[in-house]
Amino acid sequence: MSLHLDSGIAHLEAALLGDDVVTSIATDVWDCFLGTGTELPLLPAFEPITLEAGHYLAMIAITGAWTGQVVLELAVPAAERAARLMLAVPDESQPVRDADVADAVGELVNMIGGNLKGLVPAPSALSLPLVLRGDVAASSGRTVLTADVSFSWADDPVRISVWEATPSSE
Amino acid sequence: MRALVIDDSRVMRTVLGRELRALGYEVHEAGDGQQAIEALESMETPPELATVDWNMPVMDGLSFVQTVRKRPEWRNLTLMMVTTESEHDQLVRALAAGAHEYLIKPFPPESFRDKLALLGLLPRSVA
Repeated sequence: MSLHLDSGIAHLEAALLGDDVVTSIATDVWDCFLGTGTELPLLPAFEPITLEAGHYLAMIAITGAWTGQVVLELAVPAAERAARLMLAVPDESQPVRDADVADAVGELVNMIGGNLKGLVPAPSALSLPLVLRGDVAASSGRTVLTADVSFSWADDPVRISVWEATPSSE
Repeated sequence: MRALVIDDSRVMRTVLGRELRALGYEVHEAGDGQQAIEALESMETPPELATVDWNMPVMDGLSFVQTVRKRPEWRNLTLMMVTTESEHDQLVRALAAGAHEYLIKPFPPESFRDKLALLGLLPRSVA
């Protein structure tokens, strides 16, 4: 009986962190912090997206009653645009430091992860974000993909995935 | 009016600092709780407001709030948590430790101004 209950709860948790929830949170983050409103909305991608090598990958871990990680991947132009908008540097001839681009991407995944954390069973803790560049796998080890949403932002690809650790990987 | 923006993200400090400067604040910045304590100690008088992120290296926001509340000379410093921590328990912990307000990221700029107005920290020229 308890196996059935555990299984049911796990399915419920997976549903809570599904594509619709991730889309809603990501849209809120974009609308509030990238200040673009209807000018540059984050749109669901209806066709498969391709993130070229060297793209930005930011991840943040949630550990506790629910353990897993949230991964945000952005094409380089999208990451640089995010940093420009957040830093209010609209002039594209003015360079934005790589560190600031990484910082902006890290803050975006921090906001997405923090809001997802509020939906999983407590207690749980949020790590600091980790930002990487290159051809990096979104997740490794024993994890289950519970959400995987692709977006188009001014024609640049953005992907958000949520990976739940399976018990044997914790 | 003066504010201390405490966040490990330079980008987020810039975003909040821009909002506060637009309201007429003089803005100081710190990258973690320990830097913020040192900044406060270096000031002759504390600012009216500190915005405090929760998850930061070295000293997190909750520890910063607890430290500030042990210092009587900083009793008039208003503390607003500005964080992604959205759980009710976290909010309660922050308020119990001595934070005055709690704003969950992401937020539209008007929410930030509304919180300042609730705290009586919106300059008269703007209110």
